[in-house]
Amino acid sequence: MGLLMLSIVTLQSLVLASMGLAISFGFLVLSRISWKRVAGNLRWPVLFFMPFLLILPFTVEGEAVASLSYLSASRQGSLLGLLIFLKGCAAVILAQVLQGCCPFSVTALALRDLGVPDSLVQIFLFTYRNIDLLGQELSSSFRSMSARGFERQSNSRTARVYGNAFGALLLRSLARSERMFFAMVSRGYDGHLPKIKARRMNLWDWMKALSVVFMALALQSPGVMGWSML
Amino acid sequence: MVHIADGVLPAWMLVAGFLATSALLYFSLYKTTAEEIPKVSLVTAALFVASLAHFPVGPTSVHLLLDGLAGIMLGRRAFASVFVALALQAAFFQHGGLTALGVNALNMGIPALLAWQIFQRRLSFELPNREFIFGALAGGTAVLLAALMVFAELLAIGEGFREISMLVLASHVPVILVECVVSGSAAGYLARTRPEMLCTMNYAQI
Repeated sequence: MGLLMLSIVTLQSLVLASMGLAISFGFLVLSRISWKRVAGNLRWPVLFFMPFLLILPFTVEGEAVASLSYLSASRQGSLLGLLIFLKGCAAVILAQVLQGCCPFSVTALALRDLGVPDSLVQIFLFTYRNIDLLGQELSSSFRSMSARGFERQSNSRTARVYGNAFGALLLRSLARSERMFFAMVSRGYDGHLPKIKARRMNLWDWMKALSVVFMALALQSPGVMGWSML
Repeated sequence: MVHIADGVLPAWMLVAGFLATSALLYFSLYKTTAEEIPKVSLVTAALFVASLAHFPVGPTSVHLLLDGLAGIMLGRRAFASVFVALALQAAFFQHGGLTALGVNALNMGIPALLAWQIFQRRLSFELPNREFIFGALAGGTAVLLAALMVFAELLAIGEGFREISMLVLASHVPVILVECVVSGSAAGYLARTRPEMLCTMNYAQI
C-alpha cells in the first residue's frame, strides 16, 4: 500500500492522478470504513492544499486564463494546484484505509516483521496507548485552571501558564513511565517485544499484494514510456 | 503548515528524506536501554498531546510544535520521538503525509537535536534563570529552523512556490515567540521540580 501511495504522489499527469484518486476510492469502498469519518479527517489536508489551489494559479508563469485586477491566473498554475490537490486527497484516503482496516497493534507488529527496529516499534506502541490518557490529564489541568479564573489570552502570562502546565504533564508522564517500567520488569520485560511467529502469506494474500504492486507500476508506466497524458 | 502533506514534494526529495531520516533514526536509537523505552514513549505521548493544544493569537489560534522541548528532555532520542509523533499525527489526524514523513521528520527532528545542543550550553553559565533562558532560546530556534527548512524545500520545488514558502515563514513568526516562552517556562518548571528530567547527555557520553 505504501508503494501505491508513493506511486500516486509522484504522478505528473492530471489524468493519472484522477485514476489514482479513483483507485483510492475503490479501496475505501472495499475497506468498509465510514465515509463520514474519512470526510471528517480530510478537512486538515484540504485546508493545507487550499494555498496551493488558490495561490499557484497566480504565481506560476504561463498562459493566462483569467484576470483579477492586475493579477492573472495561469493555466499551468491552476493545473499544478489541481494536480497537488488530487494526489494529496488520494494519498490521504489510502492512509485512512491502511490505518482503519486493523488495530494499530497489528500494524505495529507488521512493521516489526518488515524489519523496523524493535525499540522503535515499542515506542510506537507505548506512545499510542498513552495518548488518550495524557490527553485527558491535560484537559483536566486546563479545566481546573479555568475553574480558578484563568482565561486564555494572547499574552506572555498565558504562554507561561501553558509552559508550566506542559511541564507538570511531562513530570507526571515520567512518573508514569517509571511505574510502567517496573511493572513490566516484574512480568519479565527485558527491553524486547515477545517473539511471535510471523504469519505466513497464503496464495490469496500474495494475489492481493501483487495486484496493489501492479496498480502502482501501471500508474507509473505512461510516464516511463513518455506518453503524454496532460 | 510545517507538516508537508502528500503530493506536494517531488520523488527525489521524498526518497532523500527517507534515507536521511533512516540514518538519523539509527543515530537516535543507538544503544537504547530497556529503561529508556517507556520514558521516551511517555514523553512523546505528552508532547504529542501538548502540541494539539491551541494558543490564542489575536482573533485566531496556533498550535505549538514543541520539538525544542523534545530535544531539551530527550537529547538525541528526540529525533525518534519526533518521528513517532509525526507518524501518528499523519496516520490518525492527517497532519502531514505518510509519504512525506521522511522530510517532515527531518524538518522537526534536526531542530530538536539543535535545541538539545543549545540547551546543553546552559551548563557553562551560572545564571539564576539559565534553564528558562536557554529553554526559550532552544524552543524558539527549533521552530525557526523548522520553518526555514520547509521554506527551503518549497523553494526547491520551483519558482512558483516562492510566495507559498514566504507565507509559511511569516505564519510561524507568532509560533516562534509563543514557543520561546512556553519552552522556557516548561524547562524552568522542570529545573525547579525534577532537574534530573532535563537531558544532561552530551556527545562525549554517547
